[in-house]
Amino acid sequence: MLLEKVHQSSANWANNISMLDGRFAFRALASAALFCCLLGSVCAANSFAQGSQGASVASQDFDKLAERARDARENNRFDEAVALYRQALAQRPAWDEGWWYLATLLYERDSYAEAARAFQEAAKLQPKAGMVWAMLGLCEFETGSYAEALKHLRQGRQLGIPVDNKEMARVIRYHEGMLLLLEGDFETAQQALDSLSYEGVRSDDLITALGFSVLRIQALPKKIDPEAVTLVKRAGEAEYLSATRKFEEAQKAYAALVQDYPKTHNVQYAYGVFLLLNKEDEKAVAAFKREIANTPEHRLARLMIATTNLKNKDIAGGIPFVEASIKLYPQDPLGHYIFGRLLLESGETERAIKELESARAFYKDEPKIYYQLARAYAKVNRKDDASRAREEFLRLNKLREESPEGVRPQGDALPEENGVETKSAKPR
Amino acid sequence: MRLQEKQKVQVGAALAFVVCAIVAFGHPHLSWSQSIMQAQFPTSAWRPNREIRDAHFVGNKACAACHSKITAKQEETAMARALEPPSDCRILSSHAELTFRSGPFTYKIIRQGSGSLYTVSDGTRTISEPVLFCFGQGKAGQTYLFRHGDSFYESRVSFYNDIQNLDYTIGYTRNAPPTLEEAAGRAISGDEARGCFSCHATASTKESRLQLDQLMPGVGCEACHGPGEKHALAMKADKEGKESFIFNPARLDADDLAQEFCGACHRGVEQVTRMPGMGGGVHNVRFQPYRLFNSRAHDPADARLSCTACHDPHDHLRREVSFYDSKCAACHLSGKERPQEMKAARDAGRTAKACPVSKQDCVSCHMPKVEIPGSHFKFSDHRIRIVRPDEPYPN
Repeated sequence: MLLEKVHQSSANWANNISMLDGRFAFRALASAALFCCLLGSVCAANSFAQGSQGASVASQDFDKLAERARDARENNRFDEAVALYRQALAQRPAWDEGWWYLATLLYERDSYAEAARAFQEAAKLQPKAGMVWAMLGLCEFETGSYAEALKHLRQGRQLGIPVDNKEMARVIRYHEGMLLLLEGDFETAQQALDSLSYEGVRSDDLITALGFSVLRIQALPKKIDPEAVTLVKRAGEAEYLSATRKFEEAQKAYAALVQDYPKTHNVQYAYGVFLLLNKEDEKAVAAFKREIANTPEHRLARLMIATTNLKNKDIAGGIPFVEASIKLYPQDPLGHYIFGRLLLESGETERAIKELESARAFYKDEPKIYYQLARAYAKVNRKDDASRAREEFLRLNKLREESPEGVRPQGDALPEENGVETKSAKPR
Repeated sequence: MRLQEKQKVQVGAALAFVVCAIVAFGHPHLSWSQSIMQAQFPTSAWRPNREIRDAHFVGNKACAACHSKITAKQEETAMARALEPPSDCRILSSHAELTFRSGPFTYKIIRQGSGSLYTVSDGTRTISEPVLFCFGQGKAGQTYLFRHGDSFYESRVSFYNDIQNLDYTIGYTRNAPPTLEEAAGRAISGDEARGCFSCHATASTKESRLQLDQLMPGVGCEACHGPGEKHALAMKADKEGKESFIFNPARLDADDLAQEFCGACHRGVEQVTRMPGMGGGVHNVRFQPYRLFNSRAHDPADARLSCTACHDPHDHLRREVSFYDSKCAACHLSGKERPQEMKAARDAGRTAKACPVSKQDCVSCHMPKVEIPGSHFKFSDHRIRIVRPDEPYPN
């Protein structure tokens, strides 16, 4: 009976969901989520069932309460259902199914703080249920506990959302994208938002979020500055076209944006990144140079030029830009890393080693640094150091590959060099 | 008209490309004239999938005028046939019809004259497009590229030699997709298309644009040695330092050769670490330079562990395991050395332990064959190691 209803609700999931409004319709969510929990590989269902089995041997009072709560919930008497679930849970606090339903009912009533508390109880009882953690994260997003929200959304995704529940996976990715924007991890945010665009999702908020990601604006879409709406929307549209692989249209949209906002912070940079990803290296470098002219302290524009020159083996062309960046931001590991790589390429291996070691001092867990160090040490016949660096590369790379979050490190990053950026130095 | 016949020798005044001057002038063994030549031709900058401005390709025929034997030999290799237009495609021309069915979708590749038509139908709607190019020479498999609407598409199904028919392309989920378009394949960006052609063809881009009507299918001489026009002209004019006008990857050090040069297409550590999720799991067995770097006690500077220490890029890939025994013996002792032979072995750098199990067919144990699910092919794992029974695939 329950499964039938859940099936019925989940069929309407895609229609009911309104993920890009910042929250989404509860009924379908709750039911579909439970459906997923019931059917998912790492799901709460088994334990919920065990909880129910436990309930079957408990007091008749509890059974009656639970039955009445279910009846109220299924017949849309939500206030009554909430009260009954609370009573039942007071009798049996370990009733995981009860916490789940109470939480989802509260979520629908926009009582996010209370819903979060109930999901926390459910999560304590079902710590392996990805959906429970993800729902907790969504509640925390609504209550403004953004750091916790990101943590729990990730936890939910890592534990597993049933593969056939693509909509829930998208909801999670969208909210993660928003939260990454807030964290200033624009590249990872853009990756998440681009992938949603490619999958056919489109909304005003998504376009705004894409605009924020390419213009590197650290805010949620709902917090958009009214004066920046046109700029942000146009940037978002350009990136949306790129994400949906309409490259010629994207090129036109980006070019028009640059023409209309030639001096606006990060517009030239965004265009440069787009061009770089489309192998228009020379034009990209020109755009980055214009960004530096607009924003003289722009670190990433300099590092982008240096990296592009490194890629194209224009070592002499790259060094002044990375040196200027290091002068501005001496604590930036990415600058030292790229400088080290340029020096390694130029044959100045000893200097390269110093720069790479500086990068390592700032960022001890980045496998790429150890990879380059292994190469550099080997070139100057420091075999033991090379061996240690290589082993460390293998260890860290293995950890990264085996960690669900590890496949892409946090922090903004260069397309060529993503993975070396940290939060320690996050100027422009 | 075949693409190869369309190749044009583009002659023009070459502009000096001086970005590598710092490298050339910094080299202690080069004469002044050689240094100038190096500065004129960006030898150190050449990589198989990189474009150099104002450099012109001449094609294998021009190379064969002087290097006939090695060109002829190389043209028979699998790399030389890494890309074929349908007219030259041995697989499609020998299979009049290939079919595959998954869920509601029926796939067919039907030979029509010198071309082939790729068709996907869900029973009510059909997408039919001519195959533009065949990627891969079929030892493992072959994937097809077609144009649909404004985009290039990678076919969702590929030919596999082992089953002599179609199956899902590696990397796709093995479920029927929701739409006919998705069933047909995946739209690929211009960047991605350039990436595919830059490794499977020669001279595929000009000014960052794909030039499908001028590319040379497969890995030709100039894919590895760089654009040959200046070299050909210098040789004809018998100029001093003429060799400097062509790139010789053999001069790269072992690490650059494996990781940067061969790794440009076969994927070195850098490429793999940029591919989220691809560094781990059995899929990375295809990325030989990456796996080689992960080998136990790998020394990046040791030329005995570079790609060309074992493989001759101008010749067929040797598949007999015994062929590689001598390569292993370049580092490893045999265990049969007499005391007086040990010094010579040490002097030659042969200090790695002898295998206690066998003196032959080393790679059959130490470089096990690994099959990627759905690939219908077993790849040699280049992570050289002592394989323990029942150990999981090492990341």
